[in-house]
Amino acid sequence: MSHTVYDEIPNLSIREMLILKLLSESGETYGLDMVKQSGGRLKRGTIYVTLDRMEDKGLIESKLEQLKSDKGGPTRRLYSITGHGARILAVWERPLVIGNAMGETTA
Amino acid sequence: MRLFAAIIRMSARVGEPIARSRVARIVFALGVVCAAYLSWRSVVLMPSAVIGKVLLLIPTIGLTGQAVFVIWGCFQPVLPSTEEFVLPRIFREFLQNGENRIAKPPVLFRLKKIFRALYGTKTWERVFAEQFTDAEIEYLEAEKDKRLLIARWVCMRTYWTLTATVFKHVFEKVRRFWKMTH
Repeated sequence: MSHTVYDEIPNLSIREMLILKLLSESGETYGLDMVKQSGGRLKRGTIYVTLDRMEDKGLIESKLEQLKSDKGGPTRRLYSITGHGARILAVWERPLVIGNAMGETTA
Repeated sequence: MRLFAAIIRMSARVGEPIARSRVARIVFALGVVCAAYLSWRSVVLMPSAVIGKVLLLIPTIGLTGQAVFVIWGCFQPVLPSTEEFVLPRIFREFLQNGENRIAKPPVLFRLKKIFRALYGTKTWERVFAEQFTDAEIEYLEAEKDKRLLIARWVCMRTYWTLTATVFKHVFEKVRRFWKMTH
C-alpha cells in the first residue's frame, strides 16, 4: 500500500475524540465531569487510563487544581486540550479525512 | 483531639514516605529478608529449639520492619496529603459545624496506601489517585447531607470502578508492549 498523507495523522479512538471534543468545548474540566457530560459514552472505570494515554501522546495536559487556603479537601486534576490535540481533532473532524480513512479501511 | 491529630501526623510521617518512595520500599523489603535469614540461621544452628526460634522469627521480622519504617520516616518531610486533605475535612466540616462526632473513613479509602505502594508515582497520580479523589468527594458530600445510603453506594461503585481500572490499565500496558515489539 502506498504511503499517504493520512498515515502521518495520529490515530484517535472514538473515546479519545470524544474527550478532545469535550475539552475543546468546555476548556478545563475534571475527569468525572467529562463522564457526566458524555452521557454514558465514557465510563468512570476507564476514563483515567485513557486520559493518561492521551497525556503521554501530548493531546491533553493536566494540572492539580488550586484550592483556596480556607478550603480543605482533596484536590482534583484539571484537564485541558493542547494545541497539538486541537489540531489533530480539527483534522479528524474534517469529513474528507474521515471519508478517506473509511474508504481505505473498506478497500 | 490534639492526641488524635498527633497520631495521624505521626503515621503520615512514618508510613507515607515508605509508600511513596520506591527506594524506601526496597530498603524495607531487604530489612525483612535479612531478619528472616538471620532468624533462620539461628534455627539451623540450634535445631532442638525449633519452635522457640520460629516464634522468634515473627517479632524479629515485625520489629525490623518497624525500625526501618521509623528510621526512614524520621528523615522524611511530612507529605501534604494527610495534613492538608484528611484533617481539614474532618475537623472543619464535621467538628466545626457543631457535630460532635468524627467520621471514620470507610475501608475503601484505606486501599489508597496499597494502590500507592503497588503502582508507580505517575500511574498513581494520574489514574488511581483521581479515582479515589472522585470517590472521596462524592462520599463526603453524601455524608455531609446525611445521605448514608448514597455514601455506601459510592463506596460499592468505587470498588467496581477500581477493578475496571486495574483491568484496563493491564490491558493498556499489554497493548503498548505489543505495539513496541511488533
